[in-house]
Amino acid sequence: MSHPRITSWSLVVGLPLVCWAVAVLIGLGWRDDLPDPLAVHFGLTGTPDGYASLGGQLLVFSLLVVGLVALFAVLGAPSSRPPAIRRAAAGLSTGIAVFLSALHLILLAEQRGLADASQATLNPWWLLPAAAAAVLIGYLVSLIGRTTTVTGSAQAPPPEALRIALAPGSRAVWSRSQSMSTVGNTIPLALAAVFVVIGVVGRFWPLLIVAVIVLVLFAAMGFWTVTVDDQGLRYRSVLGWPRRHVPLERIAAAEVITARPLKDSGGWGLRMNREGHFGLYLRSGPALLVRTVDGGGTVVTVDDAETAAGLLNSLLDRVR
Amino acid sequence: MLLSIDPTSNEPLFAQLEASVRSQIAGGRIQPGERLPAAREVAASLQVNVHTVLRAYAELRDAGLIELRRGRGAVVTANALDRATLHAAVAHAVSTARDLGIGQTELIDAVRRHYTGTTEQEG
Repeated sequence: MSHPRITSWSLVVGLPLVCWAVAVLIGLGWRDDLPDPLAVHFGLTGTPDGYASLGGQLLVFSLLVVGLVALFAVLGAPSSRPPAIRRAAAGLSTGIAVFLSALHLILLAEQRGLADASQATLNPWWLLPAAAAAVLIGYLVSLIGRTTTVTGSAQAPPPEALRIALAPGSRAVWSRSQSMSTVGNTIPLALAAVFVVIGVVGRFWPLLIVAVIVLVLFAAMGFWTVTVDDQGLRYRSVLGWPRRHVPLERIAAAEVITARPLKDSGGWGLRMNREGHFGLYLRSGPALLVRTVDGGGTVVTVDDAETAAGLLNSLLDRVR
Repeated sequence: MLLSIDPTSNEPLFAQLEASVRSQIAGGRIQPGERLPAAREVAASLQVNVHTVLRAYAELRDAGLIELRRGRGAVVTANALDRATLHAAVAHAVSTARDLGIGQTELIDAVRRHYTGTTEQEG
């Protein structure tokens, strides 16, 4: 943590640019084996419908990677950004650079040795390992610099924090089910409907699978149970996954804030807000904010958040 | 919804849980249509037997405060607030009678007189 600025800049920019340079150099090395022009865009059936020279492909690829990396660097690397935001920027930047570099190399590798690019085919299954590698490497990079040790002192919540009456020796649990607001519901349903219409009209059936995936994600993100007890804070989708747990010993204090999903975090569901707090944004209005001892936080938009915050603070008073 | 118990109290745990839900309905903190947490989860959080929680839920169902539906869990009924308010008033009358040393029979007689008397006046 002694050089946070240098660390986050190098993490957001370093590995992505290495990937980009390697992909460009390999592409140039294959120059003599590749047809001219290259197939650079494929239709839904896997046959080429767009062509460019190797130089053109390298230019587009480079502009895309360097542009996105620059965007992430500007948005997420400055030391003024919360640590969680900087780690997310590093992970996303690296993951996207890995994915784009892999796509570039797959595109070229499939055409090596061909005399005419119109014979080229692109096997869509290659997208899976490329995406898996991107997610894995991006995730690993996002872990770098994460504080695993407790830096803050485990003190009782401040006196002005919300409390509830909790008799000595008593046990208490607070639980609440919460569903997504109408706006948050409409977007995935509309998206799924659009995919179904395009899929049926265009006779492109894989889009129906995409629509099903959207609906499953919608179900997983739409309905939640939030629980506070002496184990800390837990929130869980009714499907059983995703679920998260913030243990009581990691919590510094709890409070009630006003959450605005679109403004704070850019949308609904599980996401990270501008302050680097992880959160479950189901609706706007009063929300539970749990601050952790490492300086992070978790936001959950849940009704009766003041009771949840009061119980957490009162439970913390007992152990600190 | 906040459920709490005091293991050192002489009152049975299921009755404490029941009172916990009743007081929150009467206080307006729990609205009709709201779902009570799953009995299994309450039992795990409070470190009590799941049958204790199920008994409290069954008592609340018998009192007309919640509906138990397979697959949907326990849901607070539409007239729960009225019932909970009545229950609170009865509990208050009972504790006043106890404080005054008035027996069960005399209290029930008093309730009956009031009930029929009020009805006659209204009629």
